[in-house]
Amino acid sequence: MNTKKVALLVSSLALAGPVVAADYKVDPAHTTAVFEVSHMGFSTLLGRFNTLEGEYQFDAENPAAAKASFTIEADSVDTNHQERDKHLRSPDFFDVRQYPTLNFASTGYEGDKDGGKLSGDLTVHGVSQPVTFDVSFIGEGEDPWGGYRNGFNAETTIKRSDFGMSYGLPGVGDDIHIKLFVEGIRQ
Amino acid sequence: MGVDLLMQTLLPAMIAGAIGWWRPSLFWWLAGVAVWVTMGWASSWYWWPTKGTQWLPFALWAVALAELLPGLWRRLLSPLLISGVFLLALWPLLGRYPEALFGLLVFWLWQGWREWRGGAGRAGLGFSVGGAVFAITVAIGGSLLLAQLAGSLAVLAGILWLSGLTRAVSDRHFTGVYVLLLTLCWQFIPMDWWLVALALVPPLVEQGLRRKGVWKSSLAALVSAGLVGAISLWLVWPQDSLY
Repeated sequence: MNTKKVALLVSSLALAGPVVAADYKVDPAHTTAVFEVSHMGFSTLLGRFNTLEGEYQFDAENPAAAKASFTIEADSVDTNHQERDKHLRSPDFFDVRQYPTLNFASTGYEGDKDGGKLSGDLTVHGVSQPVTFDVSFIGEGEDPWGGYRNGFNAETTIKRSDFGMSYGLPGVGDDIHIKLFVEGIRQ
Repeated sequence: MGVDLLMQTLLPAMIAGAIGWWRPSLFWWLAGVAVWVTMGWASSWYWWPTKGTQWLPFALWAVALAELLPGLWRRLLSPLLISGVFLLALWPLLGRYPEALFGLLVFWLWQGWREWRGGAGRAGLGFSVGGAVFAITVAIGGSLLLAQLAGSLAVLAGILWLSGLTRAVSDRHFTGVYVLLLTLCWQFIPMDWWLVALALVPPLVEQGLRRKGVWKSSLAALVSAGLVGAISLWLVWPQDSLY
């Protein structure tokens, strides 16, 4: 096959092929999952999970096809207090020995490339419930190492009692505000 | 909040114990109900267990079920049913933490020892004081819910001991639920094994000395529980302030 034919084949494939959504792998070094919960109605306690992984797919031309999935290690809960973290890992709360991960798998996205609502199933403490995250796109571009990244923030509020995690109510609040700060590397 | 915790822990067990004193044939059924109520009231209500810890009342209902049978069958069926409860409770962990089965082995050894020693034997103070001290250790060591369950069992064992002062009531079949609680704490919180093992000391000492008389064995239970409590608290005392 001569060079002309190869060039023709490549260019026709590029023009005729469907637009493929980009796959992104979550960069754990630049991604944070935090939660806020009321402490006895006096103050707001902030916690985070230190170990997570995930991937998402996004195509600016077809935002409705966006997909995302995340897995968080429940054992990595960190509220800046060793004894409280141990209590949070116990059967009173996350019961991490029995339920080692928290999972999210999206089921649909409504919005555009700047932001929208990402619906999906969140599994916490072995119980799955539908949730909707408010998503806002932050930015994208090439990184200094030759890769391509983008990032977004997402947040939602759940009731922990809906996930069978009712110990300590109402002293430890029922409403949990979850925030994700995500950066992904295009694969 | 502290009053709530005490009410959830003590009230169901005391009511169940009082009715069980009046109607001994109902004791094990009601003891299981009391533990189930404590768990539901403190955490969330359930009909069929979905978590390992939720199997704890079934160790008491297993005894109640076996009690419906005559002598030898009862003695055979009770440990078998309790072993089944152990397996169901630990099932979610066995793939990752097979050492959890060691709890079942401890139960078999202890129950076997009691069967080998023979004699109905009246209920002693060991389970009650051992459970009470362990409840405090667990509360500081990682789980208020499991501490409440330990407290509930301590109350039930205490009522069993009190009723044993006036009539022949055995605590032979309390071994299963006691060891299951320790195993759940060891595996699900998880607590250090030596802290959990310390909770075995008061009932073992008391049962070992039971033939020496009620007073001697009860005193030994109290002294060993005091020592175990002091050591446990020293081991489990948090470096950070409580929150």
